[in-house]
Amino acid sequence: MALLAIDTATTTLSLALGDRAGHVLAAWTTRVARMHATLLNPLIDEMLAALNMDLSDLEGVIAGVGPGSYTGVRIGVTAAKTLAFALGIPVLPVSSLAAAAYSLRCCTGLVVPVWDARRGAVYTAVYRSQHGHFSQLAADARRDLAAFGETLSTIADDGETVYLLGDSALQAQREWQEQSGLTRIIVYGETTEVRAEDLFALGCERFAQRLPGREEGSHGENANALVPRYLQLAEAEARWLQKERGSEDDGPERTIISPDDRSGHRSCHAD
Amino acid sequence: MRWSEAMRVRYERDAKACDRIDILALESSCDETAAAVIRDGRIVLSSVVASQISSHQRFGGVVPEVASRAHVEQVTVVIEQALADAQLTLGDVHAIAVTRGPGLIGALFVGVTAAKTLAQASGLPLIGVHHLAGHLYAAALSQDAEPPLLALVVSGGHTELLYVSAQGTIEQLGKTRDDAAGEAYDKVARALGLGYPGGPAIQDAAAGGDPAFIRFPRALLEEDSLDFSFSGLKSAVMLHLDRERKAGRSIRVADVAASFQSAVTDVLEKKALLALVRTGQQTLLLAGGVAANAHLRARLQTACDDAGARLIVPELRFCTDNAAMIGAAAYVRYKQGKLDDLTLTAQASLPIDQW
Ligand SMILES: [Zn+2]
Repeated sequence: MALLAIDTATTTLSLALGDRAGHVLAAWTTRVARMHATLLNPLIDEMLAALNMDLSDLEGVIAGVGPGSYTGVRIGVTAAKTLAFALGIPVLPVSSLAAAAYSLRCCTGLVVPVWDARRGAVYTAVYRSQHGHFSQLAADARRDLAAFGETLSTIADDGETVYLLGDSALQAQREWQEQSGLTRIIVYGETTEVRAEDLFALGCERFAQRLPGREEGSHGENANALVPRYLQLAEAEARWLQKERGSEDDGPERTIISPDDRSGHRSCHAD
Repeated sequence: MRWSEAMRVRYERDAKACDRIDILALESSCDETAAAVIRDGRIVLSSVVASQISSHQRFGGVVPEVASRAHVEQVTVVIEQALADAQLTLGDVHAIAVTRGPGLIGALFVGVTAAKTLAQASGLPLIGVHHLAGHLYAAALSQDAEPPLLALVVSGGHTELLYVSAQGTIEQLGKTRDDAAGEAYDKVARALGLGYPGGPAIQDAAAGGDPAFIRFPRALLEEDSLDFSFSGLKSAVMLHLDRERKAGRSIRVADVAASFQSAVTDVLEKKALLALVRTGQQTLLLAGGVAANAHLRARLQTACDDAGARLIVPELRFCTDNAAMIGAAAYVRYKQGKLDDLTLTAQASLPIDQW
């Protein structure tokens, strides 16, 4: 029996297949632009064939739910929820941002993904990786890049290393290194990408605890409710809301924080 | 077993041995998330449409990103409902069909991805369908309308004249060069403060109005053209409203709506008749959401009666976007063995002759 992790929220299309004990059996990542929708299903087919497995061997799906490209994240989430529905298995949402950060779990310091969210904003979160502990200190959110440096400096311990990754990492480093307290900022990666093996690692432990066996009513669990976490309203909707609320609310764009993301990361605390 | 082998085995067995073929179809090209189960391309076992009208009303039109988000929320819900209504499980149906284009690309991706995944998970054949072909085959669901025929498809996204041959090939004879008729309805309705969607709103408002109040322009283009243009008409309405407001006169909403509607209908009727004459066809199919417009239906009926032609209008619930029509069209392809593979993808624009 196996779990399949899917992420298409960023430039990468990534798949990982692993067992309940957390062993990855196969993990594939491609970076072919604008081909996620075309390639996702054929690649799942290829991966299963390579492992001599069948979709009926799956007992759960782990879905990268963004943030990221709106169209991109919808492809993986739609496939994940439809798979869960069709096979009658549960699906588990995991933050794509968290998966990206989790790839640095062997480093010691703060891990901060900074993904371009346009108009001076980034999708970001703050994690601390230390002695095998990986914990979330600030939730996934769309935040103003320039302003977040100050917040980050209050989170960081004195002299703590800050690892940045994502397509806004260089810019964040430039803007934030002026902040007192942020003395060591390292750009770890300049691309926005997710590897499904990290998504799998974040999801599988939590999954294993919850999988009661298929008889016990896990039929398509959560499939209907699974949606991407865009962390941002559709533009037309944001404008409409602003108009509804009147001009006193015309301040900076709303930050949408997804509170349930926190519970999603509990499994990465070692304590 | 690989999906390609599994579905091949399934197809060859079913196509030979089954006395009826049930197709689960999905449609998500615009603002309706829909699923349906269709037997033999004709019998509607179920048809579920989750409309997003209320969510787009506040914008006065369909916002693509808002539509795409709603599709993800609804897609498995409508599939589940369609199967339940048909009292079938995924294992009982014989193929999965989906609209692959044309339409809003982000919206299409949701339906196409869901359909590919359903096919993959159940080892079923996959059939991508052209949205307009769906509108044409909607006629098969409630009328026994067999090609060859001429079709006028009028909706928020399309205004087209199509010729469907007896073999099922589709040829585009004319199309709009700018706005679709339904789009013009929406824009004029918004300008008149009548709300969204514009079709029913204008029809209601026009009921008590004078269609001869203002003679808005009828764009007939070149003499022999079967193309349409509605942007000039829309601008003329805007200009009129502007002028009246500047002069401090109150807008005669009913009369403007009736005059606008009459101009649209005139053009649609003239072009449809011209196409009937030119192709020598005896059957005119009216399809698309604007077919719900009673004024247009009545005028076309009279025109067809005079011309000795037969007018076919599918049941209204199959005129607006739905998945039943996609299942009906998919059946034609199923019988021809024209199946798709898992690389099927959504296309925002898709010529009808390649359907
Ligand atoms: Zn349509």
